[in-house]
Amino acid sequence: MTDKDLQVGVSGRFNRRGFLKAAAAGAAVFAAGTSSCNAALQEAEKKPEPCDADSVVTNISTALAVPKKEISMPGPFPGLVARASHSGVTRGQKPNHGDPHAATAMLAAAMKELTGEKDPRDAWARFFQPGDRVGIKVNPTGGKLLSNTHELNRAVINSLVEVGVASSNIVLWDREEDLLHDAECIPKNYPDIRCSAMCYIAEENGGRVIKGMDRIDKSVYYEFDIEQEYDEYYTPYMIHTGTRSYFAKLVTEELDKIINVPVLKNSGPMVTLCLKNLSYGSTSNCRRGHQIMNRFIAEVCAFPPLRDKVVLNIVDGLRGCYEGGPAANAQYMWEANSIWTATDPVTADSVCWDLIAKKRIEKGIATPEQIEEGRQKYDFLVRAENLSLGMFKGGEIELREVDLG
Amino acid sequence: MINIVFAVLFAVSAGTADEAIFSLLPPDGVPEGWQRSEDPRLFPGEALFRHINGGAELYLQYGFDRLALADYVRGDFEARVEIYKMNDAGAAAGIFAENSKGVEKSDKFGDACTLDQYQIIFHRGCYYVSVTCYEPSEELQAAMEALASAVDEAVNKESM
Repeated sequence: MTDKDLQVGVSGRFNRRGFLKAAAAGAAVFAAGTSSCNAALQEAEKKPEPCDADSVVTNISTALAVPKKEISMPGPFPGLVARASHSGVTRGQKPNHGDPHAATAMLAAAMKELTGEKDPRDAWARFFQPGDRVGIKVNPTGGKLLSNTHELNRAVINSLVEVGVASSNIVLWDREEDLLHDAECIPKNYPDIRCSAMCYIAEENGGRVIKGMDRIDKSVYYEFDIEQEYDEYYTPYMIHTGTRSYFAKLVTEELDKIINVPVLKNSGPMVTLCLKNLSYGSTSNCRRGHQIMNRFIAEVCAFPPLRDKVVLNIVDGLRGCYEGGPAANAQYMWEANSIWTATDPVTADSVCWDLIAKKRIEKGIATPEQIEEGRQKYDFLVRAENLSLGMFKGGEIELREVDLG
Repeated sequence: MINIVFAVLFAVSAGTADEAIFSLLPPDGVPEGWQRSEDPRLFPGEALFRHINGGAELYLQYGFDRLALADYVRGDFEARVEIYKMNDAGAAAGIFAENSKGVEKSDKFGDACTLDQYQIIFHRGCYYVSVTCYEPSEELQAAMEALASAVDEAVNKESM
């Protein structure tokens, strides 16, 4: 047994390391063709097959038993996405130094297209009222290079304030404080609102400790019968182990409404957009969710704290990436100069996945056949549609586009 | 008793490993006028998820040991150096191959590298290295190349 084996144990229905090794071996042989890669392949061949996710028992029935509300996903505009583009928004400048006026104009245009309102304030007022406590769920995984842009974040905040939402009632949040810090989603850049994370660093007894237990709601959880132990370095960031993933108190108690703002990016052969940003960003002990990833993404979003509070999705596509995501790999990034708005997260994911897929084919990263294989394998959008969270491309999707120059 | 001894040995060896990878990071003044903006950070094992979230899966699949990261500044200019120590040269080559699919390669740094206006990546031995800046400019390009060169030299020296 190696040190690694001592640090990373797995219990539950199948062996995670076997699954990962198997996945790695194929890629490794393709990539390097070294003897160590061949050894990995040989080892992988001895490992058991990954589990059948559909055989895993979850508590999704408890979520489905709660009646939906009028504003629940997919909201008032199922199957509809509005895209606004402006070729000058990034200005060829460093990330977060784009044109804030262009970002504001794009957001206003996309909101008008989505709602059919003539005045953007009326569009925002359809979703938000004074007194609402509103969370903006960002995706800071790509650091400064490929996270939410400050110019769009500020446009969202300003739009909320314009319809009477108090800035003290607005929270910019993610699961981990470290990542927010790396993406500079910090009080220095957002002095009027709160920046918050479920997992945070606190000063205690003269030292820095990782905390989070006080920010999870133990009465609301997604449960499935797979446990995963994490190594000593990562366990505190998952907050706990076991068969439950608790929702953040922020989403269960502290917020009335959520604006979901993912970044236009791939995650391997799939995408990390609206649904993934919500599911993995709102729950503790979530990494084990990769073992049943398609179900985890769809089913976590079907729980009331997300299903009934996420009233708007805005995909930040000022810059996007088609390969190398979710981390930032500059050689695969492009200035997409676009944002998408939707109340239906499934439709937004479907439309943006199409764009990323097109780019992957165009750049020779994947063939159309490989794209289709990826869609079959990562079927969380189909599952989300089956849970009535929105419309996948099989439905009648409408994309409204406005080009601002 | 065995457990205690093991724990102490592990702590000592981990400390040495940390120091070893930190020593590969360019010091203040490389390139001239640049300095670290804060203490370098270490991400051992699964702690890599704290840095790149789900992107860490790929590195762990190949065999990842630890990451040392430092941010550098000169005035308003910023750059970041990330040194990923993989378990062996095959793993480093594999990660490089994954992160440079379809991109023109060069032999300017390491065993192979790619050069982008925002990022230089290369691999040498069991190390995969990324140097990133946040805006395209000639001065930053030169700074990135100086940082990449310094890391490459340090890694090369270590492997001799």
